[in-house]
Amino acid sequence: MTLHNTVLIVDDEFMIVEGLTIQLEDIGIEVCGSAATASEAVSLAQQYRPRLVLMDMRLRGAEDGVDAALVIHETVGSKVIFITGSKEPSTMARIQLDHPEGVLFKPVSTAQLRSAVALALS
Amino acid sequence: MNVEAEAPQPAGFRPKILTAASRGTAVGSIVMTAATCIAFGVLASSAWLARANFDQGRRSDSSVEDVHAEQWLSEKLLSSLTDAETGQRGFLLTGDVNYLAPYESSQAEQSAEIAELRKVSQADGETNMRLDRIERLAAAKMSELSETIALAKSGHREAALDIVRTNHGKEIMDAIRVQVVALQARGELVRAHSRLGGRSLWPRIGVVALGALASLLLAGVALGQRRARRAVSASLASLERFTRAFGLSHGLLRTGDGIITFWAEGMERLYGYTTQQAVGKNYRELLKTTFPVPLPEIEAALATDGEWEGELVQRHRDGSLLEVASHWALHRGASGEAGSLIEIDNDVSEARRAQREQERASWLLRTLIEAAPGVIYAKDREGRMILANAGALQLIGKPWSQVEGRTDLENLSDRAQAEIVMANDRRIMEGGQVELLEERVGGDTDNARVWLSTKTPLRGPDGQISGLVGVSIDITEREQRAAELAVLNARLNASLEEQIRVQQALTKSDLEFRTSFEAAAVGKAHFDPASGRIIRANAAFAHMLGYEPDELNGRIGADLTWPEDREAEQATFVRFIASGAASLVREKRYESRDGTPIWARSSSTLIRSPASHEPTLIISVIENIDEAHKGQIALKAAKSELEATVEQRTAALGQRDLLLREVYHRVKNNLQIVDGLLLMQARKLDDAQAKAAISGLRGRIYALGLVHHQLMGSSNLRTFDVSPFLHELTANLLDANGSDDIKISVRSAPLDIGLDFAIPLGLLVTELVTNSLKHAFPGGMGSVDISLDRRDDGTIDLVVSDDGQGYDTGPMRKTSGLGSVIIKGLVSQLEGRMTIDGQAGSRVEIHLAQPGLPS
Repeated sequence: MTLHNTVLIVDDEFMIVEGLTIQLEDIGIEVCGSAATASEAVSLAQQYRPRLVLMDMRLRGAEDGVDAALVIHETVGSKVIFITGSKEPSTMARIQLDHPEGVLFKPVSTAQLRSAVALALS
Repeated sequence: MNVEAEAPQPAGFRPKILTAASRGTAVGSIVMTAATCIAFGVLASSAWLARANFDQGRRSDSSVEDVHAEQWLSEKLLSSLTDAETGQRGFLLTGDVNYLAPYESSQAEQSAEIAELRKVSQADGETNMRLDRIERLAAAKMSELSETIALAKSGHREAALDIVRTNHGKEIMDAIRVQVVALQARGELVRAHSRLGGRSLWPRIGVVALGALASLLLAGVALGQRRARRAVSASLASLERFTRAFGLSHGLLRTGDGIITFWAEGMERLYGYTTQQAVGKNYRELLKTTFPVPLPEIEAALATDGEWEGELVQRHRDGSLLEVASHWALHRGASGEAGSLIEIDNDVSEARRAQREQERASWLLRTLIEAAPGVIYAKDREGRMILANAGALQLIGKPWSQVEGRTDLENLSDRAQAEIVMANDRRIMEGGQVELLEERVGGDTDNARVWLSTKTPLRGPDGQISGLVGVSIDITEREQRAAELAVLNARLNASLEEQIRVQQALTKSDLEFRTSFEAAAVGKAHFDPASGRIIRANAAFAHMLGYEPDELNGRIGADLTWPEDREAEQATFVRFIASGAASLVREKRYESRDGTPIWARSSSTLIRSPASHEPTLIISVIENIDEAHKGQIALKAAKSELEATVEQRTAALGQRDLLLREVYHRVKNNLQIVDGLLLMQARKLDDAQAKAAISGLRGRIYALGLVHHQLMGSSNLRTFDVSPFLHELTANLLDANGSDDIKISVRSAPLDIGLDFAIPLGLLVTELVTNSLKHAFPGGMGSVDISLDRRDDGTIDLVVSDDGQGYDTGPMRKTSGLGSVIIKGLVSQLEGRMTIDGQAGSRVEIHLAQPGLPS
């Protein structure tokens, strides 16, 4: 099953989702949707089959971004770029569990975001 | 008439043989007669040989004929004298004058015959001398004959017979015969030598030698006859020896140049060469002679003395070497020139061998004596030292030169000892018995060394005691040991008695042990391994637990262990016994009488039966460490308390770190939200200036986020190195605003900064770099350099410069109002000073106060 050239944004902060969406749309990338929980992220990913997921580590609910990313990667095959405010070793170790496409640290500059997304979608 | 003066002088043999002969013992006239017969026998055979040779040889040379003329004439003379004597005897016996005819004719012919003999004989001195003697002797004989005949004619027949009976006349006749034989031999010898030249002349030489020999024998006989009968017999004995020595024994004749001309039978026996093999050869080549001295010396001796004696080594035909005592006599010619040489060899190999053997034996004996331990010595009849080995000299303490020939009185320092020893020696020499005795010699008087001496009387060849030989062994040590043994024995007996006495009560050592056990400051206890009961306990152990020793005896040891520890102690002990280890050391708690625990260090040693290896006894040494242990426990408690505090504090710190991270995280998240808000706002704006303003805000917000990001990644969550921060910050600014043709370089000293310094610094750099990126490069090309240095006083120099277009007028003219305000405000906040140079590009130098570190 083919993936669409879209991006799914997963973050439990609306303002952050909006900011990221604006930056992507400014450079012509379609955002297929956004999710605030892991399960929502999984269902949206399975529904839209985006080529790329921008995944926050801290999500609402019991599961975190890695849990969602592992399922999405396994079931859909989307690439995942983690966006995290934390630099803690435990977090980093979890991120590294399943071949992340990239890691961006908050606050993310437009330049960083653009180059990371462009690389993932190329 | 002095016959001795006329005695023949056989060259080379005379002195010894004749002198020795004159000292011989008496021999009867029978022997003398026999000797005379032998002499005549030899003479006769010589004459026969000569004649046979003459008949056989028929030599034509004149000298041979001369020899025979000489012989014939001399014998004719002799026979006419004999005839005269025979006539005399006949007349004396019968009174018939007819018998006197031979006498008268002899008297008439005598002078003529002698004169003729002189003509044919050799004209050398010796021959002439002999002829003179013969003439005188013949005259004497004739005188005797005429005297007796005259007496008889005058009627004194008996007186005449008395003269005959004196045998004087016969003696004269014998002397004449000797001289005649000698004369003949002489002539033969001289001529033979003069004619030697390759022809085999040995038979003739043999004749000559035998003749000479016979003449010498007869000369000896004549000499003896003229002496007393004893002397004659002595001469005869020596002549017998002489006969053996030369005729039958080992003699040779040789010419001056060494050619053997006569080889006696004895030589054949001695060297193994027959006469045929030897004669005509050079003696040195034949016998491979080795001389004791250089040959020229021998020749010199021969030249001066006429003879030489010495020992030669010559080779037997079979190759073996013989040592011979050789006697050489040189025979001189008429004018005294060296002629033939007579050599007599006597084999002394055996004698020399024996001598060497004896010397070796003697040497061995001497060495043996020298090397023998103990003292060996010999003394003469008077007690004078004649032999002493090293041991004896050591005992005496003087060298041999000072000991030899001296008695013990002189040799020994202690006179009393010496007198006793000498008395012993005298007794043994008088008694003639070997004695074994103890003597005290050496050391001092009170502490003399003791010797066991074996003394043997020394007997001379005549059987008379001439001294003694002694061997002494030092038995002082033995004596001392015997004495020591006696002392030891006495001690042993005493010791045995002591033991018996002690065993009856309690052994002394046991007592001492008990004392040590009881009085020890450290606790001691003995346990029975089978029952675990205390056999004995000392006061220190008992008192440690609040008991008296008697109260503990018989109690089970385990009952004294602190109740909570009994089970573990029991298990430990079982393991210990099973392990086979010799001892067990552990710290354990005992229960005191008042029910309190007492810490002690207990060392238990297991004693096993040597035979069965079963445990027989447990010996424990118990050291009270209660005080020390309590201190240790207190220390442990304090330590663990401290550790707990540290743990607590660490945990608190960890929690604080956790909180800090959470704060930083949330700040960053919030900044991301603010960024989102700004982006949403910017989307709603159409005004480019407003959009640019929002973009500027986003850059500043990014700087704030980056500071928190750096803090979060640092190990202490409070400071971070400024260098990577500046790199990341400026790289992001370039990404956001610049083109690819603008380069930014950052050079920064390593410097840890905290949040309070980092936030304004980050904003300041953001403003300055953004300013350069916006305004300095209208062509979109150039470079921006940021440098941060730390001065020695801790203050900071921040320089942001570009190679862009610079400023036309005053500072910040072209900067936005907000940027300018921010820069000024932050420099002020950081207590810094700023200088701006806009002439060539722009260069902003900011000197900042030393950043304070977070407490």
